[in-house]
Amino acid sequence: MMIEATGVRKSFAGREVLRGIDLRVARGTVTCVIGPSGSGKSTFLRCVNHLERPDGGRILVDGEPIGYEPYRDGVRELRRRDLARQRRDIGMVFQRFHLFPHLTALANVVEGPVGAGRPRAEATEEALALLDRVGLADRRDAYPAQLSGGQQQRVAIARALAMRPKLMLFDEPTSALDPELVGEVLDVMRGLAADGMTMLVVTHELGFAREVADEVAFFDDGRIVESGPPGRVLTAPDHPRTRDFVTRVL
Amino acid sequence: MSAELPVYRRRRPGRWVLTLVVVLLAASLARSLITNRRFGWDTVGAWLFSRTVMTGLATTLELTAAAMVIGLALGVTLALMRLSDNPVARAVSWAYIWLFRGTPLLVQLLFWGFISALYPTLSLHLPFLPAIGDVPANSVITTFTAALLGLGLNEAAYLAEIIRAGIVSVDHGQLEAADALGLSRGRTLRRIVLPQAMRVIIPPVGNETISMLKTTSLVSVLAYAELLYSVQIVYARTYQTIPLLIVASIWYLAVTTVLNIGQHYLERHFAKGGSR
Repeated sequence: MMIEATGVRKSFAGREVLRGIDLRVARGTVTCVIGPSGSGKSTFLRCVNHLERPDGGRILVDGEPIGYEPYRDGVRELRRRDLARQRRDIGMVFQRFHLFPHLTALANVVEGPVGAGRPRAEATEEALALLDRVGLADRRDAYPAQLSGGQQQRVAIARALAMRPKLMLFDEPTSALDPELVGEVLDVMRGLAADGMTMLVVTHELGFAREVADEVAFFDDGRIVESGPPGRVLTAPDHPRTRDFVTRVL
Repeated sequence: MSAELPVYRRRRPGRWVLTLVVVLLAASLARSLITNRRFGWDTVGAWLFSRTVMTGLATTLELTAAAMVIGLALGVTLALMRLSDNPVARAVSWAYIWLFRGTPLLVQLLFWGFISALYPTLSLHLPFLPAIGDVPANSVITTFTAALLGLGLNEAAYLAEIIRAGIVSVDHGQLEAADALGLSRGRTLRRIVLPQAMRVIIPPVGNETISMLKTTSLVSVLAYAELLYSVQIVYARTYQTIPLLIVASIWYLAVTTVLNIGQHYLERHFAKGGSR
């Protein structure tokens, strides 16, 4: 298993956002998380690389507890340095890209590997290959502000891939894009899935989920109401809430 | 509007009125500069590049640069402490800024100048350890050190707030992206946060530098021969007060102009990748 989450709970200011999430993602598979806004999808995704600290439950990535180490009869939070090492194996793509605006596309992609101690020449060569893979080799010297939303998100994917992650997290990667730019980003993600990357994708693109996902998990009000292969969850859902959501979105 | 219609420029009579007023005022000022012999332009000319004035100018520049370096180094440290998770660091930074921003710089300068009245000898006493060092304060805190400490430590309090504002202005998503990439805290600060914070930090730091250049004149109370004190020494002897104050002003203006130009280029450098 790449991700094994058990009983993950999280509250913000007394409001329970995650009420016990159990989710398993097998190596080399794509899991899409769908559900209404405010259902806790993004919060859960952010718990997987410890951008949010869960209040309870635990999350293993590749067998390793994320953000914690065993201590006495329990666990304690990791040192920042060790947490950083764990995060290097987990790529993350944000809804609003969060590219570094003062760096060129190429420098954005090179920053992570060099920060992790890889030689700059090697990192640059690999970054160029990655920019080529997302179709932006010719825009290597452009600053983020000079790129369209779709191009920025593709650079952001290349930046995450540069760390050679074993898992990729996508937090609504197409929600901030103009409709005509959604396709180019989904194409890159399809390619990644086809190459066997393990992916956890929070998305409203049910078409993408149906086509690419191995598993779909439907979140509602901090719980996973229903999960399974897209053919079942998206076409013949068991639960009335899922049925309601799917008919409203489609 | 149709393209064939002629377009006329709107007349702006206000501009003509203001121009007239300014020209008249400038002419009367110029007349006074030329005809009022008490400006003593020949004396200004004689002293402008004199050895005394040049040495004073060099000292002022040196003091400005050194005080700003101390202020920046300490200011960055204080800003990071103020933003730290560590409550002790936060409290120390807050107390420092409270003290140094809350008392007049002139008073602080005098305190450093008269430090030997408070601590005749300097030594470090830690609990359970013998005292380290025992030297006369006046041999360590010379007039120059007193001036530098006074200016630098005070400046640090102001720069800390400017730098903190700059760091806070960087979008939180940038930190999350750096965290998700597994960048270390130091690298995130150096490569991601500070370069973006610079756009907010540089204009007020430019102001502070220009302000520091002129604030160094306060050091004259310690009888330290920076630009102002140098000309004061001269006019105390020759009674040519106004011409020598003009000499000092000309140099303050000249250096300020140069600093303004430098600031322009720095701002342009850090605007890289900006959409504005």
